[in-house]
Amino acid sequence: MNEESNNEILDEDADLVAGCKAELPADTTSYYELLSKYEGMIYSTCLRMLGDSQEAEEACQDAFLRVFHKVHQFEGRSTFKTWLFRIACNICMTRRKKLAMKRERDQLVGADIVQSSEPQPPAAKRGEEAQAETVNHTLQKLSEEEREIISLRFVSDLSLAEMSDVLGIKLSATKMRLYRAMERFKSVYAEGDIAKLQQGGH
Amino acid sequence: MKNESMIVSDEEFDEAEREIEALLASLDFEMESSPQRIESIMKRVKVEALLKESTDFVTEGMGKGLKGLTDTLTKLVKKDPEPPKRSY
Repeated sequence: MNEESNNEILDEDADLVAGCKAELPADTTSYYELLSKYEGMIYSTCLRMLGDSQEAEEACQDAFLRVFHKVHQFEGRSTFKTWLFRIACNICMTRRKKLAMKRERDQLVGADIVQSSEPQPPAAKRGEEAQAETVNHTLQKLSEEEREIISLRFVSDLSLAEMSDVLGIKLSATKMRLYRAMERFKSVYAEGDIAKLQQGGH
Repeated sequence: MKNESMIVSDEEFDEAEREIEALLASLDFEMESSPQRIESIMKRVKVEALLKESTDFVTEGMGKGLKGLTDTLTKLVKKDPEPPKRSY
């Protein structure tokens, strides 16, 4: 995306945010436009971070409801887009922690665990489907921080500067964190690939 | 402890990005907004909007009510600053 069209998007967002501030709660026109523009991107990021469509849908709803309640407090120190992503990432992090705690509790009381806390390697399949499954499996094996930064870069397509804004860290630290996450992704992916080959071999 | 300021060359970084992009290409990222999901968010927002409006209305009304009561009491006190003495 070139700088000019990026600036146009930022201006449009700023107008819509101003519209929200003036119109909400009585009129949701500007809010609806922002929602339509970013819902897909936010849902997709939540889905990669949480690995579950139901959870992602709820996280996405929570993020936009938070926008509804907090947009009056948005001062424009960052762009609306990075502010929204920060909200969504925080919600996903909290949800993941709650899910992990719930799983731990279930294990402690010996409840039937439907889904294992440790993602299982995908069964041997062919072609693209197997590849997609291995990639998904790899994402779920990463730490929250790693999954977050990979999702922001490759799913949400944020620039390094935007990511640095969302994460609240310096640009150089963002780049380093992303690099480490990519390296780890590659190594976990390679392990998964080997496991798959071994399964296929039996 | 992680050192997040460690330097990576641009070439190394770009190469790593290309590799991950190639791996993630197999995933179908659903980036389009879904009308169904948007509709359910809007339903929740409309409920929240109604709640907010009614809360604001009640708060404003209570504010006016309390203010009215305070004004009346203040006027009463000013008008008759000494309480009447009781006769037994």
